[in-house]
Amino acid sequence: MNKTFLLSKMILTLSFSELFKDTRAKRNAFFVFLGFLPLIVIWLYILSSIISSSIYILAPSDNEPIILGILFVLTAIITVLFSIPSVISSYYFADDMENYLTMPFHPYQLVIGKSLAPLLITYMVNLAILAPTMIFYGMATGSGILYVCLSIFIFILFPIIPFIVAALIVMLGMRYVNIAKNKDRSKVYAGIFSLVFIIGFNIIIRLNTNSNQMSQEIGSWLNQQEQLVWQVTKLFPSAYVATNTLTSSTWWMMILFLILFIVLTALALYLFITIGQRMYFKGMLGINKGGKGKKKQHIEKRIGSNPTLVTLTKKELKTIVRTPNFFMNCIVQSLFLPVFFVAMIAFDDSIGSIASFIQSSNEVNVLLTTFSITVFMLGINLTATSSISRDGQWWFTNLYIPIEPKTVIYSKVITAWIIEGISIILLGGIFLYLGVPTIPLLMWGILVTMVSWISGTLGTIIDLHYPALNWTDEQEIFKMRYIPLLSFLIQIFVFGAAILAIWRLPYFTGVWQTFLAMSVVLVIAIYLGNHLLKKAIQKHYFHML
Amino acid sequence: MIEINHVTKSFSTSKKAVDNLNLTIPAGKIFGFLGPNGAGKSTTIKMMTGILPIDEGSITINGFDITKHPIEAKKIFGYVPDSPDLFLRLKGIEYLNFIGDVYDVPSDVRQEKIAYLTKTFGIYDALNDTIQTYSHGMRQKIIVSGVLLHEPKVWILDEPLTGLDPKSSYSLKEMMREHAQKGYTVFFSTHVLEVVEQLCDEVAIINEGTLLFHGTLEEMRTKFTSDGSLEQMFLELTNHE
Ligand SMILES: Nc1ncnc2c1ncn2[C@@H]1O[C@H](COP(=O)(O)OP(=O)(O)O)[C@@H](O)[C@H]1O
Ligand SMILES: [Mg+2]
Repeated sequence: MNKTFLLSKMILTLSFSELFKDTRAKRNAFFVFLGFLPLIVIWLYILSSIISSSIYILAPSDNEPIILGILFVLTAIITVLFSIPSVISSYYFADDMENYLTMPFHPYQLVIGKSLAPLLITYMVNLAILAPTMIFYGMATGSGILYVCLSIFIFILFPIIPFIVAALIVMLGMRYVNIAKNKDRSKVYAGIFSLVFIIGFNIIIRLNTNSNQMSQEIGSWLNQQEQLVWQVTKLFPSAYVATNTLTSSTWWMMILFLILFIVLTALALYLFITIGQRMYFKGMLGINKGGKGKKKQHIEKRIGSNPTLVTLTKKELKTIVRTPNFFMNCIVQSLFLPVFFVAMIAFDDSIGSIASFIQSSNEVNVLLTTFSITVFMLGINLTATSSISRDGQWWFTNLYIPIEPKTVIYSKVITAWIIEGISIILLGGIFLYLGVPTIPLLMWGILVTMVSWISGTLGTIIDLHYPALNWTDEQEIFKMRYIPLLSFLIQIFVFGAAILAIWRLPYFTGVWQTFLAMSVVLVIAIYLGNHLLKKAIQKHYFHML
Repeated sequence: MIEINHVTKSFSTSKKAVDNLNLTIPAGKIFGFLGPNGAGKSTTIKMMTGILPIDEGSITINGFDITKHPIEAKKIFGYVPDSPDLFLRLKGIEYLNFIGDVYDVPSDVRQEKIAYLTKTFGIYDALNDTIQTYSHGMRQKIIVSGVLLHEPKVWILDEPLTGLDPKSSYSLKEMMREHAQKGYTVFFSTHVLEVVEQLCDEVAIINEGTLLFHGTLEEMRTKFTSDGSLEQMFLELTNHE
């Protein structure tokens, strides 16, 4: 146990040490948090009103525990889904494993050590869903001190079982991915698998629920479906027991259920440790290093010359495609939203209603809506905010090669722009399929091409200011950094304000006026962005190492 | 003692990185593993230390099979990897403390040895800096200090002298000798013939995954002059550095 603790502490120190490195980093993290505050307030407001109105409807028939039941089920599902990707990368793709392999650790100790960082992320997610739900529920039903104590216990214990379920799925799955024996390719397969899993899950859930009914009053819907809801809850024993812990009618029943819950968690832990001990290395060692030999290529054919900017851009693109972590975070994740979108509408009867919405609403609204969706999608793209950091300790090579700093940096902006272009094209196809008329679609295309350039510039500027070059594992560029959040927030607020202004101001009634106004705004933004980028290059390019 | 029995490893279908390797490394001697770049030295060492799975064959360390009894085997050896870029975000002292904890080094022993080792290597003053800020040689030294700290019975070092300055290189060689004199096993790889000649009691030569020679230094010298292909190899190994 002692060794396990030691190892866990070490792994945690190493994975979180970048986050709060100095006071500047702390201050920035604080500002990012401030930026999210409004979003948090809105979320809490929505959640509390859903809960209190549902309780109002459900209380007369004594059905209000259903609310907790359903939220526990949801939390469990979300925890499993969120944990799978982070567990995969922490267990199998962090390159620090090799350091520990030669030391006398049991597989189960490594598994526990490697679980803590992703488990902590799980608690963050639960802090957003589970904690406010239990608080609002407790306030609305006027619960006492016992409820408070029990809910603290439940909050601490609840994420463990879903997390273990995710970890077991990953470990079992990895045994088979391991057949590929190629570390790089397996990483990509595993990443795509987890996305497909999430989307597939979404489809299954959607096939089984009727969204039209769902969107009516949630409370009365729940009331009608009482039986069903309880059955679903029983499928997730931990959700069932947790609900009963908090809502049983007598205090000794509550305590009894809590004990049951603790026993369940302990059992899950035992299972986790036993299976981890036997399975972890099986996947791990197989995946460790690899690269089946490729047949010899004609080297001569591959020698040719290109302008520097083209060469650099090609180099960036190739690096992204060939490095699994980059590929997953920059390309696959940027395709995720459009694909998710397709999955949602393709398996839903709402497609007719979307099409009729598009037909019935005016072109300005269609343009603004498609534009907003795209801004959101581009905002979460990670290519630009990792422009500089991706070079890592090799950044110094940029300093001694005889190429203008500007050229190097613009090759990175262009790279981000090209990658964002892929998801724009995909989204354009979806909009076309949904029946967005030609003129607004073309306008949309022109506008978002500019937006994607701005987003590329902005991300690169921010990454120039706060690069993370000292990583030992590529994953660190994307996880545990607030830079992408910062870029996302800036884009959402700036473009959000512009959209809101254009939408609300009386001058822009026709689609052409709207288009022109937005183009002007975007051209100015591009000009400003380029100016800021050049300043940032001057200030930081040679002063990063 | 390390025993390598019929060990084979391949990364691609066409070529074997290590091909049916048989080797017994006795205790009490310094054993050199010599070969040009890409010969399969690091691959062999990574299989010995449990980093890479073994395709065929087995490896035991003081009688413990690395695949079947990994924990027992790993407690016995200390490993210095070819690239010392590990634990970069830890401070030197934190790294040594971690190693001390992992291998159960009592804290009074730890106090004394950390000071002694790091002063010998001249990195004592850098202990409070992160390993990130160390030069290649200093990184090498902190890892070697970590290994020496827990006094393993078997040392496995992958090109340990590459990148060390003459003084540190000398101290490390001295420590290797002392260790072997105590009756422990020292196994190291190198691509430099001179190092083998200065240091080793026994030597094995590997090229393209196959063992070409195993014996004492004397035997090696006679073999070099009599065997045409080995002589070619000899030239290759002396031309480096
Ligand atoms: N992870 C890997 N993937 C593919 N081939 C590898 C890998 N590691 C080593 N090799 C190949 O195995 C052979 C031996 O390499 P290595 O053991 O590192 O040589 P060295 O004797 O220089 O330490 C080389 O041909 C190398 O290309
Ligand atoms: Mg090597």
